[in-house]
Amino acid sequence: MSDLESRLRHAMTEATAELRIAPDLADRVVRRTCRRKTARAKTAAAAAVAVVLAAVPAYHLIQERRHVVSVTVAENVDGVEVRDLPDGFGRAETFEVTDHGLRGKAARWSRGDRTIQVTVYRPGKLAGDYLELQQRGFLRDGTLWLRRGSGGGLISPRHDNLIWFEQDDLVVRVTTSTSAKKYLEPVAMSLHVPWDPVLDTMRVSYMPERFRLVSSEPQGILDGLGRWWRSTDRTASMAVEVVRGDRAKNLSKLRWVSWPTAEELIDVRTTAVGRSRALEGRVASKGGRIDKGRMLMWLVQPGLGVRIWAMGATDDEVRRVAEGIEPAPPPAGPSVDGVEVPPALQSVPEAARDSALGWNWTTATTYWGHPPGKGWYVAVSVHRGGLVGTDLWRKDTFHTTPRTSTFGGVRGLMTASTETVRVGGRPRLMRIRSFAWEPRTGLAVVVTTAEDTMSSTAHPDLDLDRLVGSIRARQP
Amino acid sequence: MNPPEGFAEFVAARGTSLLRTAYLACDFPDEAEDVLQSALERACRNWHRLRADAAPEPYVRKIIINLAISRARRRAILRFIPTHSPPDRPAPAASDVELRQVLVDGLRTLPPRQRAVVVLRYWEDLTESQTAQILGCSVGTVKSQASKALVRLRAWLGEEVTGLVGS
Repeated sequence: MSDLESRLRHAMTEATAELRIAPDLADRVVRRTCRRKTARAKTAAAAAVAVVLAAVPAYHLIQERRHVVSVTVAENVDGVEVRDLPDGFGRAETFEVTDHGLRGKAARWSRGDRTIQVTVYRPGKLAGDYLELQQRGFLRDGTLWLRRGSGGGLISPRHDNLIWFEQDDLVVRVTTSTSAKKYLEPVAMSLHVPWDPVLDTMRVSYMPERFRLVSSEPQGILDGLGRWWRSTDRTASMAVEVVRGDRAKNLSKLRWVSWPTAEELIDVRTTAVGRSRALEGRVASKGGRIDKGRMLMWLVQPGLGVRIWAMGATDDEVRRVAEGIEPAPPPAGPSVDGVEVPPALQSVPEAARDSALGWNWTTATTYWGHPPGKGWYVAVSVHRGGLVGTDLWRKDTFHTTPRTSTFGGVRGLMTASTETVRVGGRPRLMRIRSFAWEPRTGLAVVVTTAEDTMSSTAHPDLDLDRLVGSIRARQP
Repeated sequence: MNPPEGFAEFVAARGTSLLRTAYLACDFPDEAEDVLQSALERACRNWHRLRADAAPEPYVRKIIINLAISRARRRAILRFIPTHSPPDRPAPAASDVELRQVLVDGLRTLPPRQRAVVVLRYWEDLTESQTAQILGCSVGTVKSQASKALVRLRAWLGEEVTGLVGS
């Protein structure tokens, strides 16, 4: 492969790395398909009528067909979808802003003297509420606005300026001209912040409307990786946690939770989630005197468990969330624990599979070519769990000290060594290189190539750089 | 209306990958989602037939590529209307990070069919025969289109940058 092809591949990978489909894409497609079917039926019926009523103006039919047009996103402002913008405001002018120390991206629509602006600030790890905004200088004369967002917001006295914490790391502002202030709250309420329903290899397919995601990225929760949701009125919260490894070997191990303070699980009873046996109990501290909600937990398989910790949520809400947690659909092609295998490996015979439970992570490995120690091979290992990426995981994964390196356009850790194996009764020196990187929190991929240094027939598709680039490009 | 069985799972699993293909194959990034949605609509209408064949992804990918090519061609007809000023072309930049952006810009200057070949061969990692099957042409055409595309990209990058990239 020439250098231009390789750079082109990297360029295409980088250009598309940030792209994600909206979680409701399938629903939108189905709705639009359904409307088109209805519209076609109506058009056919109208055409039949038109034979009889030839004098009916053509534009009537055209107007009917306008119903076919689906609800589309007027603009995507740094990941926030602006929907239901009033008619006639045309295309947005987009620009960057810095307000009171927060950098953001904005889109502004105009119609005559009327303007509507949506600004999205992503201040990194800033977690806070409306007081934090006021301290920074936003709407010092504003009043509390609690209609959406995890941290509350502020509205200006003239009702033409609105700012709120949508999530811990996401602040949204809507401003209008005085002449367009009637659109302020409708636009704010119609904003949609898509969130990724996939958590590890599970998918959270249902969350009650009143709950909003607290942070856009999965985070460490108790023993695993999870997400927090909080109700808009801040009276309830729900955490969904996926636990991997030895901590989820069986239900009784899953029961032992690394509580943040002195909580304990009491009144535990056996129940079921779907077909899985589950445990449910009350979370309390101070010997049961302080109520801290309830917890429901079950095993998906040995080494993979799910816990829901809910405070202020109803039994029905918790039950429906639990029933909606399902394994995420695997990639269409061959994969190793949800990570798609590069096409180059699909023509190489699979030699062996292996899996292991770490303290707080799991590892699944597939070998192509030969089993380890029997000749050349390529191995792809997928490590998942709350402790993946930590020093403890590194020590357990690498037998020698890894060094930072770049393969396939991604930075990661690399080790290199040699090993002598006997092939056909003769000693062969194998050059073994392993490269590990973390595509996202709680997930690491390790690609290992063991090359026969005596062989002159190296397979060009099994180049480490190319394999890493190909796996990276296929990450959803 | 409920989605056909397995359709939502397919979109969840492969949607992002298909969106990326659409993004690279289209003239303008904004078109990608629209093209993907149109392709998925067609797939949704024929889902039961597709499921019987058990391979919806190549079908959807083929629609995406064909939609992108036909849209670009329609737009090309409009471009024949003469304009007084030549089209803007950014000066190629030499740094590594900028080089990647220039390469993606260069990709968008390719004729639609050549761009489709580049995306399918070098990003989707499809073989020449798989690419030919999607585009409905011969393997020889795929080879010549890929070769012409790389020549054009080198020309687009200019001599200065091509030196950095190598042959």
